[in-house]
Amino acid sequence: MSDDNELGLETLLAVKAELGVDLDDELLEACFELQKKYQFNHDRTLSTQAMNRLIDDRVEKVGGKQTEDGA
Amino acid sequence: MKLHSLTARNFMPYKGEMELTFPQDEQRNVMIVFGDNMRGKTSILNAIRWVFYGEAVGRHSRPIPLQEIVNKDAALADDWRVEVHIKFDANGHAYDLRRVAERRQMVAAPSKPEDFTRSIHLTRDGSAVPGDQVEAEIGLIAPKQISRFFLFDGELLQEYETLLIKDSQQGQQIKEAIEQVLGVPALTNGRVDIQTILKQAQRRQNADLKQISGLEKQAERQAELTGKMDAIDRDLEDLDAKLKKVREERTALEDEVEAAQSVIGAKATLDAKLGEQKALIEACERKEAERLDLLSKAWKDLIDTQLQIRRDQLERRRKELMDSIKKRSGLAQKVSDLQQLLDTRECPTCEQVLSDEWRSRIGESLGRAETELQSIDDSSAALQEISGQLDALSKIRGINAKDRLRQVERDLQGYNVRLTQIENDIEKLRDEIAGYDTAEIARKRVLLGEKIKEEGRLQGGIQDQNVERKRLVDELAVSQKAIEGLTKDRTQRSTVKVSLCSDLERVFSQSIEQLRDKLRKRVEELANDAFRHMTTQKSYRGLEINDNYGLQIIDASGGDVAVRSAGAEQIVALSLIDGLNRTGRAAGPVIMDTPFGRLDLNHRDNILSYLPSVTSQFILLVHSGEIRKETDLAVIAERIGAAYEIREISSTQSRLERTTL
Repeated sequence: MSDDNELGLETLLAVKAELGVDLDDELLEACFELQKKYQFNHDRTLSTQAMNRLIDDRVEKVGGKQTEDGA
Repeated sequence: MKLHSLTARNFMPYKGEMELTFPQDEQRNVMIVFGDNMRGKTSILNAIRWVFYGEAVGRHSRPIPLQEIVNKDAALADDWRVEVHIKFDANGHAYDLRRVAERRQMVAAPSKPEDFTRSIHLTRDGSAVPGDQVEAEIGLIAPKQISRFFLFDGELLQEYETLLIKDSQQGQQIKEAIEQVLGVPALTNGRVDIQTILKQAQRRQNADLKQISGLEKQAERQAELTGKMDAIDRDLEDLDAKLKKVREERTALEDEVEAAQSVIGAKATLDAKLGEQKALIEACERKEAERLDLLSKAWKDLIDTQLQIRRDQLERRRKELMDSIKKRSGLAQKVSDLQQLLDTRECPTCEQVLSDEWRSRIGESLGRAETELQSIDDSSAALQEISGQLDALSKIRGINAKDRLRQVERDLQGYNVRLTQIENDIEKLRDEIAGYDTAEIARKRVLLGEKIKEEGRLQGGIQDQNVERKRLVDELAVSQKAIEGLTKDRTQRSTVKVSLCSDLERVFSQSIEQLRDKLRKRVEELANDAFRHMTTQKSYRGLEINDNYGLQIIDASGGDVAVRSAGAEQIVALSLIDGLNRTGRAAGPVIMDTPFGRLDLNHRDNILSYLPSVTSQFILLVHSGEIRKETDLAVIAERIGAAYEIREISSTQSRLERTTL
């Protein structure tokens, strides 16, 4: 894929700025790269799991407090 | 991506091994394969499709079953192994891909795809790619979804024209395929994944809230909203599944009705042919009767010469008799006049008395006239008889039977040739429509109409549910903000995750339409670039894209060109394909099967000049009606790196030979 495909990432970053959402660019980029990798897979299990891991890592970094039975 | 070589064994019309070597020189990146219809051009396209994706397609993009892929002669010789091997490079790696299908043990003659074992082997830079990762690797290099743009079948051109028809079902499907090519799924799938994670996080958050005293009310509200959201998602899933099923059924019915249309057409042609056959049979019968009549009267021609001689003799005799009668009548009058002179002794003119000398002379004349009159017989009876004979003979005329019989024979022969043709046509048409039931066709038409309506209802339902879902998302966002505002829960991990997922979901959701707009703009720019290179109508301002990625020609005054010629349609479709091909991926090979069907020479030359400059390799599969190698290749002569010709061995076998131009 060429640079044109990065239009997707460009758009995500622009919309993020437009909405004034407090999201890390790095996370958006990682999410986009992951989705690009899995975009033609019919089975969404792998991509959902990978996205979940990315988000959990980010939550961890932000310092979310763990409940007793974990989350 | 660049293709290096393709080797196939027993693939469709190519018995044994067939090999193609693709040109590598960037300046000579055009390859042409010449082959007449039914010789195996599309089979080359299918060999590439099969090695990459494990499928070959026939007319109307229908899959060709594996047992049909194996060369018929090889199968007759009990060789059921079919194999395609392609070498290429992509993204800086060298790839070697091989797909093989072989008859299963214990199967005598495969009759279904399951009668074969299949295997695929891929190496990257000489190392084998594990079997379970082969398809994913191919998906990264050349996703099947985008294959329609580089494995290009001329038949597909018509598909793109439907993009201009607003709300057409086929247009919607092609739009979805185009968006896949352009990478929109990265965002649409991302949104779905995030929504799934968000829902799980919301459930987790709900459980957490219940454990914190004082937040039970928020927990209850959250639970209610997420419960509703789950119900809507289930409904949407159900509606999507139903829509998919109805679409499949509708497509199948459309195919059947389309096939039936040809049957209806064939039936009408058959009826017309039967009518023509009946008329011809009647004409033959009339000609046959005429022939018999001519034969029964042909004897007249045989005696006609003799009769003519007799007729001439009689005519002459009649003339003599008539002359004689005329002469006799004149003499009788003379005798009477002279007798009167002698009796009156006076000149009737001057009333003077005739002298004896004069009377003597008149007496001599009278004597001579009486003698002559007596010598002429009265011919009236003879004349009557001869006239009677002539009348009778004139009824026995020659009929020119020889020439007329010859003409009748010629007519009969022509009718019989036409009858044979018609009988053959009738036989073919009867075969074509055998087994079709017109009542069944009518039933399917009604079913198709119902399916289209049902599809519309389901789409409406999906739209309504999405509106409701959006309302719930907004409510959940408000609820989430309220929870985040409560100190007790602000730092809960589940709340942080819900908050993060909500933000991601909003960004992904709102980016989708923006990305679509940007992509449409990009496709429009590139398609315009291609269009300007390929069109011969330089007064057009360019192309304008619609929501479906359909392209409209804009004329010099900025208006839509409403009526487009078949050639213009093709140029617009090729411009779209080029625009799509260059949006979202680096220049790759483009293989085009029979692309010039409806184009004039100038357009064809423009395409030949332009496409090699925007592709890594430009491979053309053409027949002699599209390009004559002796005269039509001047515009790309310098760019041709390889040329092949498909030779017919038999109706079931072809051979590919390298050729020079």
